[in-house]
Amino acid sequence: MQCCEVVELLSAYYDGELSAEKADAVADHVAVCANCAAELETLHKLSDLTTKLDQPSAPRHVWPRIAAQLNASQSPVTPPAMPAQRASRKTLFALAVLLLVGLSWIAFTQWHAHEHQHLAVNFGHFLDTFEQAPDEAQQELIAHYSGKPVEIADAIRELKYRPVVADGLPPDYEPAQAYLLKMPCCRCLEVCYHRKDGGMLCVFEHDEDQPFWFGDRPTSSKVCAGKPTRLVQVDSSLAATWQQQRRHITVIGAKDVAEVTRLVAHFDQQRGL
Amino acid sequence: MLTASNPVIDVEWPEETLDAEPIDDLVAASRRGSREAQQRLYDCCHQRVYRLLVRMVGLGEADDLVQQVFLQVFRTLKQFSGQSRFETWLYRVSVNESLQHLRKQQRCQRCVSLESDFMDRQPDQERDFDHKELMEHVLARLDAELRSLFLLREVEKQSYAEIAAALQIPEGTVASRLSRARQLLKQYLVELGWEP
Repeated sequence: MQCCEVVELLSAYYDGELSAEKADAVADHVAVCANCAAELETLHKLSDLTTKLDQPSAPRHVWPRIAAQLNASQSPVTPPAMPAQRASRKTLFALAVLLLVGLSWIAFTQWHAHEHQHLAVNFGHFLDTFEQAPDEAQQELIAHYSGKPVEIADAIRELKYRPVVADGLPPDYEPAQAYLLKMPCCRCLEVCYHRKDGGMLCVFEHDEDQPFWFGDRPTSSKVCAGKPTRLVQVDSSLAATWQQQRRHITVIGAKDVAEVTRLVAHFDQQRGL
Repeated sequence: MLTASNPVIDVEWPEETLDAEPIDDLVAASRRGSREAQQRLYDCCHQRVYRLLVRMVGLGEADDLVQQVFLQVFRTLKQFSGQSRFETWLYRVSVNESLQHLRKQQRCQRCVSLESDFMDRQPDQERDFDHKELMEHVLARLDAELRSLFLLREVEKQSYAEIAAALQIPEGTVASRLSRARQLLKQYLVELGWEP
């Protein structure tokens, strides 16, 4: 066997995937050819390098998201097979209840989808306006979602939990106003801050992940301060959202990934994580 | 766990755990809609999927993609014929989803520009950091299809027949592409100063 033939087969030989006959021929050649032996050694070294790669572990929050999506798409009622015989009164009653539940579910899901569509449009408009006219954007959001200005202490009483922003942001953010909003997902606390170097940042805390807030804007993911974070380009600034313990944080108006990373780390530090 | 607000069909499935036979049982129960079986199946398999996806699309994107892969798996489980192993089918879905994701990403001109996740890390604790970083770098440079093939062989320890089934290509093509992938990796490493 010639070197040019052996080189073609070395990779499969190394993997033990050649027939016995071909493997013997390659082995005979390698035993007497220093170049091909060196090539074979390179394959060993490449495998050694591969074993040095990190073996990252999947984060724990993925299964709950999968289950939630599967539940959302699951048909809630499986209609029973109808017997040809006369149905009893009880069976008819049960079927009527099932039908009612089914229709209610369909009405609910349509209403829910409709709400989400509206939410995407309204929030999309908020994002569109936020950078140029943050006050105007804020007033529209409040009008859409029955928002009311609130003190943090009152918000804690109404929400029945202590939002992460209750412990403050770094000193270069000055709180402007907090609002309670009645979003379709939940009651949501929004706190707006003025940056001391200019610009505005709004922080939302909400019960569920809300990807449709961002419509079809370009989205990407990044690990910020060790936490998977979704990033959305909004004009020249960033919106970002991540899970913070049992709830989700969304910030609007971040300057860059570094600022998002700093905020993620700050909230974790506040909670001793 | 199932709750009143979680109206899914549930079925009984055996309590055995993670060797080859119970995987088939888990697949069968998952196909019938048992959320508990689906969770067990996810628990069994998600680490290897995640490991592959991290190398295919990066650490920051892998979370979302592993979610997408398993949603796709559970939604299309009825199409799994059982002629190949479930693991092989899972790798097929994973590779297809990651290749689609990468193609979409290439088309997305306005996407937020993200540097390589692994390049972000600081060389703090790993004694082998140089070699590891080299390998991360050259793998990221390798064509995505060749990369998936190399990872299935070198990291996931799949045979040529299993890779051929997962990627739906002939075994001879697996052999030639794997050889090509190794040649390219060696070339890229040497260009970075690696001495074989």
